[in-house]
Amino acid sequence: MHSFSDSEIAAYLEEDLEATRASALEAVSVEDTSLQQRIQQIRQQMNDGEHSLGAIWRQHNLSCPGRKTLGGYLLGILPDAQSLFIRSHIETRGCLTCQANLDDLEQQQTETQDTLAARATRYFHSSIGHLSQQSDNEK
Amino acid sequence: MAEVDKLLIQDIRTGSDDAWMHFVERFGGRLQAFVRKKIRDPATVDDIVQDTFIGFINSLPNFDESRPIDSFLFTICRYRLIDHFKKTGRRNVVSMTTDDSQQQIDLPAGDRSVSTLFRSGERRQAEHEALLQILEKEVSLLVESEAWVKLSCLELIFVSGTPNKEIAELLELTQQQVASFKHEFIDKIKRHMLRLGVNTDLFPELYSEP
Repeated sequence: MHSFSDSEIAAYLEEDLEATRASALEAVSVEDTSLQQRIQQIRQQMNDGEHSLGAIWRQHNLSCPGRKTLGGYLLGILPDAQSLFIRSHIETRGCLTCQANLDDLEQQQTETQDTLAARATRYFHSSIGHLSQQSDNEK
Repeated sequence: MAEVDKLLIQDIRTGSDDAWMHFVERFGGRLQAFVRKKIRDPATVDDIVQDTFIGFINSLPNFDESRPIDSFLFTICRYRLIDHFKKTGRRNVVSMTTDDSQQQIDLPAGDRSVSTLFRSGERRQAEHEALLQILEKEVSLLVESEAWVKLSCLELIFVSGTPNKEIAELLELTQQQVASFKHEFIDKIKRHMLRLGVNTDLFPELYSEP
């Protein structure tokens, strides 16, 4: 039996809920009319601009460890208590931003420099025209 | 924001190719990894990351350098994902997206919260900023004092909405300790808000049952 907190529903609506939980929420909401009503209610509250302490905390990544700390976590060199916090943050809270940062750090160790450079070049070429246009507009 | 990041943003604002290359090298991987959590198709993943970078460029005139780049970029990225799922009909998304993925995102206060985007009124934004400032301070204090268990506990209470009983089991605390951490934190937040002249009634979480 799945149950979802209001905070999770808000994160889902902002594409900030961990993928497994998001899929579970979608699956349950197909037949669960009370969950559908809660989703609708929370959507309305968000559209009305209601404040939420949890949402502000999440949206601004207030407790996300920095990249260096995440690197230390991967290497297993952090104090136990801090490692436990990071594990809870990533696995239990399901912070997508930190999961992505960890994946990226791991990928940097496994991918070749050529692959990483090709990716950067691809993104560079698809966006640099917009930067030139933007700086021309500002002049 | 770190001084080195401010310089990078200043260089990007002048249209520097080298600075932009450095930026996409630095942030491309983490954005790609973020989108991959939601979408499997590599071409679509790349499209969304590219749109995120373009969205960042378009939002540069409004980018608040006192805010971290990461947080701003991931906010734009989530908008792009919402746009994508809205177009493909996969998600029952909240109506807070722009219709055109190339459109500038108006985020005058840096990574302005999604929940306030369609609100008018400076007062609401000021309330949001006040709470953000208070939370930043309180979370920083917990990090500086290495109060990791308390931080985990508060994060699970407020960000995940995890029940106290479950948190107590996960963190090997008693339910009374969990409730105590919550009350102590709420009291601090309320005191800060009263000092800043913000009406605490506007934040329902400050009055929910333990």
